[in-house]
Amino acid sequence: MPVDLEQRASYERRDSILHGCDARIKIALLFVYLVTTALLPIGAWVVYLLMGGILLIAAVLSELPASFLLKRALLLEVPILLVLLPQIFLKSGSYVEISPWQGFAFSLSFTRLERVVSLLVRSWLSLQFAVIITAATRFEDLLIGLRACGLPHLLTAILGLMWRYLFVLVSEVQRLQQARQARSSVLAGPNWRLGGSLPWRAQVTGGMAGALMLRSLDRSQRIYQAMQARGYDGEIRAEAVASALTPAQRLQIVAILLAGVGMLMLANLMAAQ
Amino acid sequence: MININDLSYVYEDGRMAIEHIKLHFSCGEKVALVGPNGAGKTTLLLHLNGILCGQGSVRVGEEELDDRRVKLIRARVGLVFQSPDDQLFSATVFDDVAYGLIYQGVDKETIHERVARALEAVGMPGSQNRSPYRLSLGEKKRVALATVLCMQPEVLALDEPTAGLDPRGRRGIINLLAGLDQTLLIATHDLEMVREIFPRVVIMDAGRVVYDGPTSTALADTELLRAHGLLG
Repeated sequence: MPVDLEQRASYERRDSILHGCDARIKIALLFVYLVTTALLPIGAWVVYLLMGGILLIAAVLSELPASFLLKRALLLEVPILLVLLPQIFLKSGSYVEISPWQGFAFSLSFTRLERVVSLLVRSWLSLQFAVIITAATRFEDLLIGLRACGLPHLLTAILGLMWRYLFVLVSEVQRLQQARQARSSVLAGPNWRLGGSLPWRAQVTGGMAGALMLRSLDRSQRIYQAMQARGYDGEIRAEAVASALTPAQRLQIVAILLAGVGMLMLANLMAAQ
Repeated sequence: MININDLSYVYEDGRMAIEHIKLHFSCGEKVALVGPNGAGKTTLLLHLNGILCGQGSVRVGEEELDDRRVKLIRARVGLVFQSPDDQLFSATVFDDVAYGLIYQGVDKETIHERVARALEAVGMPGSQNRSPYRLSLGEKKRVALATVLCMQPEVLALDEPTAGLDPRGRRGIINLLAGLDQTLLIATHDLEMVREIFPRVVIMDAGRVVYDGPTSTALADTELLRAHGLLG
């Protein structure tokens, strides 16, 4: 059964402007966006709005459904929220003590609240932008782009293999689950203890994990041998790498860099006032 | 025994895997599903055990296959996957063969007895403590069959049981299948085996049933076989 997990995992096929854009430009854009967002001061709400505007333009240009993009980014935002949320209850800066009932009180720090909301907005902007770019760029193109941006080929090769083997692992897990499902049956009639005991289930799951490791190792080895047999030497080659950046593309990258610097200057100016 | 009515299944990429399949298998019948690669044989077998759920209906005996009854039906229809590596997931042969029985809550004594009997039936006696990972392909296929035989299902659905086996291993499996009493549905390309033990054959091509009838008639019709990729 053809299940195109590898493609579905990040990339969403479209004929949009963003999809058609050179991967190197998209990587430069993503890099500048992430660095700029990370360096923005706390409470620079106007600049956050501007960054949100850029995000919106990228989302529109990608032609990807908003629900799809939001779902992915918000899912990634949950752990960040869980880490940051307790900070607003610290007694730091200006805070108030709240005692909803006798014997129970907590503090709410406004200083921390502003910081936490700022961090949440910035992390969401970064994640959302990364989701848009990765959904609009094939993973192979991302690797080629990263290589072109100077990432050592050993790292891009490791990233490429990790990505490839991740789906080998996922497909093995699916097969194991299917086999288990096919034999997880019940007999008609009462008084049967369904599903076995908890320790037994844990033991079966442990056995499956062991089987998964052995099979994945075997399969990965076979894939690697097949790659070697076809001349793989750790370097990712593609037509896109061969073509040098056009003057227009260079200009685009410079413009992106300048826009990033401009945003930072604006944010710092506003913070200083 | 099994009634398949207007069953269709579409892959996630939109391709039709099987289309409007209507079939009836009687109790104790031995039927071979043949057809070229991608004909939909495996997809059809996966529906009998509720692994896949397409449009249309599948009835096993008096029970309609649905979410509520799927586990009951799995006890009646034993499915053996094409690759034994997909079937076996435990650390030892015993654990793998006993899995279905333990899940059903069968008592220990019966489990040990049935596992030993199933392994003996497939020609693998005394292999309880071996690791499935270390078995040869032929041995894995036999153990995979034992994993469902021990559950004593009324129907056995096997996907390509002789694929990839050497002549001796293939002969062993054929003899084993010929001696089984259950309703037997097998997806295969092995026309010699079909001729030998299956009185009825269903030929599938591009997701549809193109022939359903006596094996002798189908195998004598070289044009039919050639048209559906069963003759070179």
